[in-house]
Amino acid sequence: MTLRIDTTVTEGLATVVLEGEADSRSAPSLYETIRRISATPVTRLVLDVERLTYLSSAGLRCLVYAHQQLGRSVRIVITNASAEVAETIRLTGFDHSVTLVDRAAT
Amino acid sequence: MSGYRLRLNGGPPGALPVLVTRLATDAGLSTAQGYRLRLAADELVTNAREHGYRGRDGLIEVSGGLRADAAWLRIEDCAPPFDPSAHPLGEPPYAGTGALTGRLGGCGLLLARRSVDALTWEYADGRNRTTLCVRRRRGVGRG
Repeated sequence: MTLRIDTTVTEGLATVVLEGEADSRSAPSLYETIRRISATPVTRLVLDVERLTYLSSAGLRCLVYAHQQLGRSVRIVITNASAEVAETIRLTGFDHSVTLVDRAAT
Repeated sequence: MSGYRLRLNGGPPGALPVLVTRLATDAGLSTAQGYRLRLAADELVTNAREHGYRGRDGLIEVSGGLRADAAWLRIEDCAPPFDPSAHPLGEPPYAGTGALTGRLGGCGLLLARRSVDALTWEYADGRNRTTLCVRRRRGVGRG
């Protein structure tokens, strides 16, 4: 299972839809996506993870990398997270830095 | 891969999720338990490859089994001794301003240790042997 990444950037809003598994195998392509987004003027990043079935520490590092590249002024929202993906994010404390919306809350 | 056993010699551990899923199904683990067992195994295999073998190819063997009360997975490698249970977990690495100012990484072992009910380690015959256990729910599963 690989990771499919669909990205749109419109008027400062970057939306990234992730489908599949974000792990050590797919991390390089996710890093590249984040690098390209951080090179454009964005004020908000929405990560739609409804179809993200697996998130390891390697995948999570990419999301933290996005936070570091974009800076404190850019709000990052992670939407539609499964219970397992949300728990992984919370265990590492990254939910302190982003707006995390569980699937159950949407 | 045969039974609950596989050998990884470099390259991505594509067979690992297959093994863990089969073990979790046979053990009657919940979806969340199976996910966490896979996550713990994945993190330890990645740790052995990236830190134990420093990115070079090296033998990693994964085996598993069922007990009446638990499903277990054992990860073995021939890298220098490393006890994943010995390091203090401390605060979550990305809590507070850690995500903005801290180094990337450092949460693989935390995820592994927090994802299973027990993690034990021994070094014997020139091998690290890390065993993960997840408690089975009563009256569910085979074996």
